[in-house]
Amino acid sequence: MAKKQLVSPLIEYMSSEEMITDITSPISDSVKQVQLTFATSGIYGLQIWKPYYFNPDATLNGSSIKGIQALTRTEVDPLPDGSQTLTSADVYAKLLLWLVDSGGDVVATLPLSELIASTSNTIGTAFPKVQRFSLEDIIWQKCYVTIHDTVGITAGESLLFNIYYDKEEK
Amino acid sequence: MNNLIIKRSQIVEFQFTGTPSTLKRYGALPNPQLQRNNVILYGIECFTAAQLTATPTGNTVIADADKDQVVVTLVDTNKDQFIYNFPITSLIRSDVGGFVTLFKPRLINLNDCYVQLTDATGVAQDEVVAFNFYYQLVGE
Repeated sequence: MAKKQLVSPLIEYMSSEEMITDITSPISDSVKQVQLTFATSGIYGLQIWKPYYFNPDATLNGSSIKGIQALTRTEVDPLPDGSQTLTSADVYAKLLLWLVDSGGDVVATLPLSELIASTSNTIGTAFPKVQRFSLEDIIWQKCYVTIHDTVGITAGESLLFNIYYDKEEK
Repeated sequence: MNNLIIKRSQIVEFQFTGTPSTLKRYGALPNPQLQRNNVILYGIECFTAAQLTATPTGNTVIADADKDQVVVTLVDTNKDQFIYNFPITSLIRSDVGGFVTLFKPRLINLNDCYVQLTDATGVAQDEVVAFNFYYQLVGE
């Protein structure tokens, strides 16, 4: 006779409401890399509290965002375009990610230090270190990053994110 | 093993206004989105300067070295102090194996939540303790 797994009603409820997930469960059916590169001037010029908006992304708009991971030089160095991510993991505590939906509401705000693939989740090295989300209505070009202290950030350095998503069902 | 899925999150600040003191309750700074009593809180995480050096309102976050001097009390809409004098060290993800503290979802009453200092040494006036509240709205 097959073993039946016992699950508490609370765990069952929170799982069905997508508040929690088993850390070994699949994250998404697709993943995409998104990059922001700081510049000396212009819309990506370094300045505190300025919103650095992401480029419009037809794939991510309308998709269900299931996970976000910030990559550092530990994971990839250099980046495919030849640039590099921020120098030190400590610098990520000076940046915030703002996720905004189609109604213009800020749905989530997170320090980038919490999204770093190499440090944010230390749960067992065998598991993917990805912060899970359940976001349905995110408009990518409305989402942005802010910096509240530019010390340690140099023009030409980049932020690189892995965005885990489920494609919109047509 | 289960861990958090973020549906919505907001940074909530508790500021040490005036000379930091051990006998005082420090409430949350105004946060209109979370003060409508329609917020179902299911997870919480605390930030010191190691995770976030300044908040979106420009306040300095307390030093990581001071994290063992702060406790938090959370109150729901039934005035139940369902988390009472909880050390924030246990809410810092990097200190608890990467897990976010989860609890039975309940309607939070942010106006009644507060933090207290068990020792004010090293804590500067107007510094804040920052939390990320993970929640969904009633009816979502």
